[in-house]
Amino acid sequence: MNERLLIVEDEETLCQSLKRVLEREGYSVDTVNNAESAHEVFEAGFYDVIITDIILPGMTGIELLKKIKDKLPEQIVVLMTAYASLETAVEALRYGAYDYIVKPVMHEEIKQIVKNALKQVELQAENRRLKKEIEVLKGMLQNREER
Amino acid sequence: MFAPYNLFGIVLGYLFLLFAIAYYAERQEKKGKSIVNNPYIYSLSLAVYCTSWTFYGSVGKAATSGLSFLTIYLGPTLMAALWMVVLRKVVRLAKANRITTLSDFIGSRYGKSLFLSSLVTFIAVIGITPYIGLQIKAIITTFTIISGEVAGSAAAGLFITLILGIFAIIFGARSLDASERHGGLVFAIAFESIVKLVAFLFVGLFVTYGLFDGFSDILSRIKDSEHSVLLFIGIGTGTEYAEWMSLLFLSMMAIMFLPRQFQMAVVENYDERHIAKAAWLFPLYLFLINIFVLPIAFGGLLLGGTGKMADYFVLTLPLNHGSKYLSLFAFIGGFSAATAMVIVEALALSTMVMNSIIMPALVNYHDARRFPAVILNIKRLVILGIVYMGYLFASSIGEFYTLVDIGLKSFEAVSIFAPAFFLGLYWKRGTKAGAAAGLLAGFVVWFYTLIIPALVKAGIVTDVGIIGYLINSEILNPHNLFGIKALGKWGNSLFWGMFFNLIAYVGVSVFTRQSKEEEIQSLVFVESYEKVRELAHGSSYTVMDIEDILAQYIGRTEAKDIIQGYLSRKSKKGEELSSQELFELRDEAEKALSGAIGSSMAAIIFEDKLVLTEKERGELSESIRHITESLRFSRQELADANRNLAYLKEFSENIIESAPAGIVTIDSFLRVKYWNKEMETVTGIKKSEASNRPIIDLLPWITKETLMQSEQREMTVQTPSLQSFKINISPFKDPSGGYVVILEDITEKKKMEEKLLQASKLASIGKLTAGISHEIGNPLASISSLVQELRSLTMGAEKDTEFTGESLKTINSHIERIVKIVRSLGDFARLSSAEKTVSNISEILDRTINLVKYDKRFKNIQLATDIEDIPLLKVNPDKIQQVFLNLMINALDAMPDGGSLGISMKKAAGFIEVVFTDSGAGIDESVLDRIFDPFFTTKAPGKGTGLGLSICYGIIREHNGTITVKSRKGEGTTFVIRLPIEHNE
Repeated sequence: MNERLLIVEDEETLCQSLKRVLEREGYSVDTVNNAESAHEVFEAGFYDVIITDIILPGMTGIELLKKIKDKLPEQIVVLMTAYASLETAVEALRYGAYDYIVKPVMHEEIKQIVKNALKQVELQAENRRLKKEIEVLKGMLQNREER
Repeated sequence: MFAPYNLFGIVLGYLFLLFAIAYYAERQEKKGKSIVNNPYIYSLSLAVYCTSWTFYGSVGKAATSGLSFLTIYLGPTLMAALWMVVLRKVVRLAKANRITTLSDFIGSRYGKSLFLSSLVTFIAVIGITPYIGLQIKAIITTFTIISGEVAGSAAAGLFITLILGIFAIIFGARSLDASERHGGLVFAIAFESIVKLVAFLFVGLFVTYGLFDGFSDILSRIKDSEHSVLLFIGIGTGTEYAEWMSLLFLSMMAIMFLPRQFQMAVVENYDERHIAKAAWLFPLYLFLINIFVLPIAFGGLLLGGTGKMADYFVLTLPLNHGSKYLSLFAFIGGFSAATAMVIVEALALSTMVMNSIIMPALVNYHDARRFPAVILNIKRLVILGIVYMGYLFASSIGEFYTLVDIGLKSFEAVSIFAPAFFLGLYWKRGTKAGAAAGLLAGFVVWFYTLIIPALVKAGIVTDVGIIGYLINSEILNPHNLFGIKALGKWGNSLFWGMFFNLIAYVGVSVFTRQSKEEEIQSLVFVESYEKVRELAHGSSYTVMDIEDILAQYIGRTEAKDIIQGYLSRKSKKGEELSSQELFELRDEAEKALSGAIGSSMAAIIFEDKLVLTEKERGELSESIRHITESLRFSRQELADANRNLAYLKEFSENIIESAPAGIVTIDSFLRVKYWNKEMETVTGIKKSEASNRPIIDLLPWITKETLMQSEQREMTVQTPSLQSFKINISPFKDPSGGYVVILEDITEKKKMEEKLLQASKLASIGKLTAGISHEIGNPLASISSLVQELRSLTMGAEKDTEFTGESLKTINSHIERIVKIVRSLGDFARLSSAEKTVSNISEILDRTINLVKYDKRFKNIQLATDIEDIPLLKVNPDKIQQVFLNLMINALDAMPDGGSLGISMKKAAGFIEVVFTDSGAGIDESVLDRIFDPFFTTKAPGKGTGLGLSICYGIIREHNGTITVKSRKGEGTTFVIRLPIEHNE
């Protein structure tokens, strides 16, 4: 099953170009052009990575980030910004962004970040699975001692 | 008969007796035991009225005309009844004003007029001299009769006249005494009055009871004689009604206005209470002296005397009827009557002549050595002159007229004074001009009707030529003026004289104005009947009085200095000063006071003491002291103010000189009057070169038309040498015109302004850049992304070729987007020109909106525009765009989280209105009126320069427009720009 990505970008050309590039990497990519729509289509755990521009008409990318993190803290969100400033980066990371990309977007960079992010998702999942196993093993050990 | 030398001896002896009596009275007077100061002596002295005319002439008149002689005594008797009112007032006024003659009295009443008093003197001298002559004639005639010798009478006359003159001098001009009061003389005159009364009574008794059997005998005998008509008055008798009335009136006037009567009744009056007693004593005297007039006259006629001889019945009846010594006594009585009159009259007239004519003429020589002695000798000469004039008249004209005739001419003459005198006492409006006119009119009539005929009759003037024509004419006949015959001889002169006199006096008075002096004097004479009495003592100042008054106004020390200065000049002590000198001292004090408080005030203080009460004087002096004091203070203040003013002038000149603006003042002919230092610097023209040259020659870029404006104007001009000047021209408030031109070299300022504008533009661009970088960044990101895709293509498949085409198209459109943004930024940032061009404001607004739209913040702004068609305006488009941009950026700043921006543009009457309304944070009301101030900002340090709005304000003002703001915290802000539509451009 392919990893699912969501791109939130109002610049249509860029949005389509990125979709094509990431699909070619084998991901399944959805796009929306504003934060409100993104918030609507967001379902807990449905997208592995959400990539959003910060400057959007209406709700900004930062606000979207906060809302998503409220619902699902482990959701991976990557921010895109047209000009890099330390303030924007710090703000983004404080609200729990996984990483940020400065426009213009270098395809290798975004592919690497998505790859890393997905590894993170995988690691998280494995972590969760191992923890469960540990719990199970722990339970079995306790039962055995009680007996 | 008496030998002439014996008679001379008797006459001289009698005169020396008189002198001894006078001397005794004066001695008593000096000892303080006055024998004159009583109403009886006063009444007897008034009997100087009874002259030789009374003594001899009344009998003559009675013998020829009957009862008409009585009028001469009834008149004064009637007048005496009025004395308590009239004479008392005259006496008070004379004393209060130190008046010593009738002429002074009239002159003083009309503003102390010297002209009037000399006119009165002139009339009196002309009018009275014959009367004196009459007395001399009587003395000579009686002397001749009683000595029985006709030969040498002319020489005797001259001699007797000389003796009379000398005695008049002895009595009246022994020394100069300004008070003009002569106690000894009064006593001597009173003595003579007794002598003449007793002598006349003796003769009367002799005739009535010696020659006849009493009154009834004489009266019944005359009734039966041819002279019976003399007992009646009326038509057909010797006494016509008209004449009766005229004579009655004339004698009423005479008792008031004969100079000797004025002298005795007014000047020599000791105590006005004496008047009350004299009012009946004097008529009693007249009654007594007239009791025997008819018996003597009728007796003389019955004893064969003729009318022509009747004048001397008093003398001839005793002489011819064996009573030699009685006739001598009668002669002495007549002599007494004559001498008393001559002495007093000569004295009174000489005082008038001295005061009114001689002294004013000599007043400038009063510093001469021995001046008083000269004056005294002049007075003596005047007395002699008057007496001799009388003699001259007696010997030339006198023989043609009877005693009464001559006397009545004098009565007529003094009646001329009546209107000016009586109306002057009771009618305030009488003026100096009126009095002069009345006197002159009366005098002319008198002279024409009485003197001309007398001169003709005496052969001095012949009745040929114009005089002959007039005398013989019907209308202007001097005997019957205007052809009216019913008035009689005396009535003719009296009526017409009074008629013209009154008309002239009243008529001229009504049509002339009184001078200040006349007004004061008329008040003194007419109104202050009571006040004058109250202050009578106050009028003659003592040395202390003068010093006190001076001290009140100029200080005690200064007052003492002035008094001492005067006294040492006169080398006299204060108490030794004569009243004349007191007067001088007073004048001196008045002059000194004039220096301190002005001449008119000084005059009022000294002159009009009479019309001020003690209290008023106190108030006046208090207020003047106050004024003087405050004047001294204000003089001090004035000096200070002057100093300050000089300093201020220098100060302000320094300011003007060192002002960093060229300041020029020009007169109404546009010539330079002032040219300050900065002007020299700015124009390179020196002050000395510029002075008085037309400004248009010096500053040719200022036109005459711009200068000649009635309102303040301000303009900016550029000279051919590319200097920029701001010129302010304001007309002077001064009515003489002229302008102030203030020149400010704004070349540097203009450059600075342009730099500032540029800087502020760049600042705006800086602000935009952050927002716009996203706008450029987005297409750039798209292009970049597409290019990366294209590079990874192998270009093998057809699909790739297709994609490449599509992509390049897309890339191109993005590049176009970027170009557009960059171009409009560049457009805006380029150096703006200072030129104004005809521009389309809505196009400028569109351009600006498009620029701002690229700002990322604009994404959350709802823009609503309402732009009407508006005319083209001559503006600087770059500067206007700067304003619009600034306002829109401010609106974005005010709405960080989005909002709405309304922009409208409308045309109104005479201007266009551009309104920017945002829904942002709004501006606190407390800072609303400061937002256009330079460097005022509400933003954090480093976020704003505080220049944006102040630059906008400057730009709009430069376009003669206005920019206003409305805002409330939390409710958004509205900026309204109004730009005028200039039709003439």
